[in-house]
Amino acid sequence: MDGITLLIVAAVVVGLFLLVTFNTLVGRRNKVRNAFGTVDVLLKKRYDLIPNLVATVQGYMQHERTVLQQITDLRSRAMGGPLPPEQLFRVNAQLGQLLGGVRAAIENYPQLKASQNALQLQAALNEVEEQISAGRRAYNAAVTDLNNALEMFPSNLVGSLFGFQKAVFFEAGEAERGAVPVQLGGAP
Amino acid sequence: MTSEPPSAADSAAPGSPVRTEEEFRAFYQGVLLPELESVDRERRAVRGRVLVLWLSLLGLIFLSLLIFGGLQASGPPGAAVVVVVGGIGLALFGFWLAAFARLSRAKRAYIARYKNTVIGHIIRFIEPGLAYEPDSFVAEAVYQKSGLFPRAWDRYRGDDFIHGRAGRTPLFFSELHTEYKTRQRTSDNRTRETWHTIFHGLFFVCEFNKTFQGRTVVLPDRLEGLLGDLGAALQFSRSQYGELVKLEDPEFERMFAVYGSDQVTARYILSTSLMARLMAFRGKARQDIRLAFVDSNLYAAVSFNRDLFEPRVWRSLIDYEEIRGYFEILQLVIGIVEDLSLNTRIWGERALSGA
Repeated sequence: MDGITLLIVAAVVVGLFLLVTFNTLVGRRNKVRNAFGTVDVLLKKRYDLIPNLVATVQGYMQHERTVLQQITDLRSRAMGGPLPPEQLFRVNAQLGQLLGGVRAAIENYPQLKASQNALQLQAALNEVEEQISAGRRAYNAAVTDLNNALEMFPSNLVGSLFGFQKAVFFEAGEAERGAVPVQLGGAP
Repeated sequence: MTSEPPSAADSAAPGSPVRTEEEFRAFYQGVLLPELESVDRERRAVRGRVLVLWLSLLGLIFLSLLIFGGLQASGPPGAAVVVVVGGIGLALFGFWLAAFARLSRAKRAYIARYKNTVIGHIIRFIEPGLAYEPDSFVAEAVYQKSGLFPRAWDRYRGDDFIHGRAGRTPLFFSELHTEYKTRQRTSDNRTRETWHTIFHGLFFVCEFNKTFQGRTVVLPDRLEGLLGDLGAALQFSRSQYGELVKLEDPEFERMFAVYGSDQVTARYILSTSLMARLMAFRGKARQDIRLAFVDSNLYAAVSFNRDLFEPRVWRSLIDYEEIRGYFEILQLVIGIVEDLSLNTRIWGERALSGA
């Protein structure tokens, strides 16, 4: 085999490698975008529930006024305009944490807890939170796939060559991790 | 780490408590043993008749050989002799067939009695809200809807249909045996049919405690269990079951492979707490388990390589170990509802519907 043939073979191999790796990276980046879109939709479902929740509980929850105000503020921030993913996730982690606290606090108000409206809200909120948790896990799985490829050799070379960026993870708020750390005051 | 909201424990409506082995032993002594003794008397009667029947067939064959030999030795028989001997022979054989048919009926009655009393009692002992129909089974359409066994079947059989509610959760299950056949041409140019099992075991269906669309399938992951990361790399990202869903829990991933029509729905169903519960259930069952979550229902296929709940003819029915085995199998399958906490209804419309 002469030098030119060798060169052509090498060029074809490198070309194929670039092609396959580039397409894999694009595929993974699209999966992240797609998963982000789903998370975004689920988060909007959460924002939609908040006004109803606040209206239902604020008559009962005198001790938690500031928390309810914080929730309303965070909601307006999240809905105010397209936030970059880091900020959106941070706002929502906080929101999830506070909502978890309110959900737990409803238990302290027997009258509120027994009302049909509160029951429906609880069920809807539990469902949305569980879906957000699922969406977050799906998004993080897609991010792991993309980031792994961008850190591992040799796909990291192709990644930096074509300017691929690592995606940010959506960390769970404390409330979603199972514990409810927020102390909201006692029953009236 | 769990994503279950704090009120989960309050909203759980427990089904019947899990029965311990001591409770079952007392139940066996008090209720099952007298039943078993009575059914066993019927078994002995059936066994006696089976013996008599087959011995009489042997006698008939022996007699006809004797007569045939005698006739041959005494030269060619006359037409009258042939008619008389042949007529008697045919009549005797007719009697034998009638006796055989009667015995088959008696045997079916014996099996039905065993199932209705012994198996029926065990089922109600585990969960009083369940009914038992020994001759029915899970419909083909349900089996197909699960998508657990995509291969087309040529033979579909089943029995021991159990249905009702465990706590708030409607459920039904039965034994199923599905097979397909292959044809092979043998060396002497004849075709030979061979039957292959697709699934043999208990097929369980119940309402899931979250509502959702689409299909998520959880299969045993032999590849990853055996080969570790290499096995994981060999999993196809798409299969006939749908898109591969990679979950966060490495131990769960070693045990199961998950495929689904939607990544988020799969994770909505398989919450971190359900994954932990499934691993515990798999450890307890020590059987091959496949699960499908389709349109708000759970389908579970637990494989057994033998027929279940069938009485024996030749050995005594009074065998505590065997009955305890059936109890454990039934408790395992009915216990899916408790083990996966399916009476916990706090999400969406399931939280508001029904008591």
